[in-house]
Amino acid sequence: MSPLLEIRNLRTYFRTTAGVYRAADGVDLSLDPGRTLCLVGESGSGKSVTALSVMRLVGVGGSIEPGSKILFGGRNLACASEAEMLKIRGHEIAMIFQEPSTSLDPVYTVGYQIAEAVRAQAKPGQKVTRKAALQRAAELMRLVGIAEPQQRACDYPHQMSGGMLQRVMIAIALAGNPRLLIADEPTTALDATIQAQILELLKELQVKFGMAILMITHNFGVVAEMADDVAVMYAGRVVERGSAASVFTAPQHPYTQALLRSVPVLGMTIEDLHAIPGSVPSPLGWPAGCRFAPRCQHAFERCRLEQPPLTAAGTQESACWLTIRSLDKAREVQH
Amino acid sequence: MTDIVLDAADLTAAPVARDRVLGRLWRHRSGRVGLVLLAVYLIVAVFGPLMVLWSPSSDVAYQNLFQALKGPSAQHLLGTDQLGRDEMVRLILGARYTLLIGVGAVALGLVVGVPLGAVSGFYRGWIDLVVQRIVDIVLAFPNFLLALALVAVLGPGLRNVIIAVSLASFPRFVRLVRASVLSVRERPFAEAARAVGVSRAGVLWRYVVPNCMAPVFVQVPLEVGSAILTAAGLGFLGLGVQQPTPEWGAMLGQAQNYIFSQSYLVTFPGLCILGAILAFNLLGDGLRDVFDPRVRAVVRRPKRQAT
Repeated sequence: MSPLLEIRNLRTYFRTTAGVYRAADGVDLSLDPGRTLCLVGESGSGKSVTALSVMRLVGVGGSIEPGSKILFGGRNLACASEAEMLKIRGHEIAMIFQEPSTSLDPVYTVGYQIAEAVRAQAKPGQKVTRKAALQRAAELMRLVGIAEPQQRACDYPHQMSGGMLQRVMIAIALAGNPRLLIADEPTTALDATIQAQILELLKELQVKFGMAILMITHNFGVVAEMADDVAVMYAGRVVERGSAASVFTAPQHPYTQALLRSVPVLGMTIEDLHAIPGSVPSPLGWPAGCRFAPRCQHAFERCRLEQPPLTAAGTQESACWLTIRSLDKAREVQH
Repeated sequence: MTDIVLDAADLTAAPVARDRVLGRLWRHRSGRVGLVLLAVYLIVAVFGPLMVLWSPSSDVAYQNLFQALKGPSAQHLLGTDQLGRDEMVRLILGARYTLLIGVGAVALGLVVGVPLGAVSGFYRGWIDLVVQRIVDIVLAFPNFLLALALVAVLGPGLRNVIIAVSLASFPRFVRLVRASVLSVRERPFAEAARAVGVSRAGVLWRYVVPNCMAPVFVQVPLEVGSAILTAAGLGFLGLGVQQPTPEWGAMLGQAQNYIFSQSYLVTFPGLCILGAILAFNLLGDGLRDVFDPRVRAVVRRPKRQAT
């Protein structure tokens, strides 16, 4: 099966007065149709920028550097025109955001906003009447689990709870029947029980519509719940990727290992919890060589000089000289 | 947050029309006075010609020099002017011109100013630069002087007065809308709309601009008041609506020779202009308070319950 979305060497830079801010600097990802890929990493590791690059909504000052490839359904979105992107956004790729209460327009009712999306997503030449769009909006609201959709459609965003608003956002995203849904920390702003409901809803809709989900999160609970595949990002690059099961049980990259050790588990004492020493380097000047080397306990000479490529290690891929060295050794033993 | 608490208390105090702007305006003291005053002016403006059909002075070209400059009497409640026309009839007929100029000029200012401000704030870049420099230039002139110069070029007449006066008001709308757009366009829903496939222009007109209209609504009545004043000034100088059309400013200008002998001829048109501007300003004050949640909290303070 060919991947639905394949990102190769994505570099998204922001040119600021302080210098070039290399937010995404060589991201490699791939996502198969109908599957869920979780993008994990600390704040500032380039997760959101990667997602926004796919939508081509990086904003003022940001640019996707030449040579970056965002292959979606055979097209390279990195150099698609704005007119082409208008046809893709919402129709084929939809996105939901972290803060549902600010992602909806406060001056319109939610029903109107869903209807608006329905009308915007109508196939060219096919005019959807206002009434039909509102009808469809109510259907979508029922689909995302909002009771009494006809009544709730007349609510304004400030009259709804955060969980309800996220459902509305999902309904808006579904209006175009997209093949890929990008969810940028969709549950971070919600409380735990609502979080679980929203994740459950996303899984259910994924099966129903056969869409792929690219989920950005820094919550390993969400990853465990949702992910088929995981990509771990650090300092603007993917350092490890593979199936969720293998990354969880046998993390190859020292960063992934450290990250997993820093997840609190109920019953743990504070001594059991490992913080990663040091802090994330600045995107204005990434360290030479492996970007994790300054914080890595296992770093050796080569780590500080050369950037490691993503290399197959077991069922996953990891970008670490340590992995590569042990693989080389294993190969030598075989010969 | 305090506002929400007060809202809850308010539920019992005044359950009628709590959420409608008009209802809130009605419960605002000066807003209510403004509304009533404006309603009177509107009725006079719309039905004025029908109210004065009985009088020969309802024909604006009527003259009766035998009756000229007679003081207020039972027959002519507010006296007659220098051509023997009933002053009250002319004031009633004049209401529509004043309102038309005031509202027309501001409407024109809105039609020009809001889109310019929106585009300027949303797209920034060279468009912003050009629009803002134009606005700076226009604002550098005193309002009245600019209108005066424009009428001098275009020639007097109702339409030209409206154009001249609107030129003075549109830059303020440009500034106001631009400032709001600058902040609203950064709000997440603008980006969310883009993510579901709305074009940049679509985001601007359907998402950003509607969120920027509240301050504009507040500004409109205040602008109408100032437009009326400017138009009356032009009329006074004989550059506004031309005789024999009974425009209040022009009537005031005509009567200036009689200011000591027949002072009623300047008093009543002056009072009419004053009342009109007052109506719009009170309405503007009321709207500002209604739209401002901090002031609203004070306005909506529930009456103390007798215990």
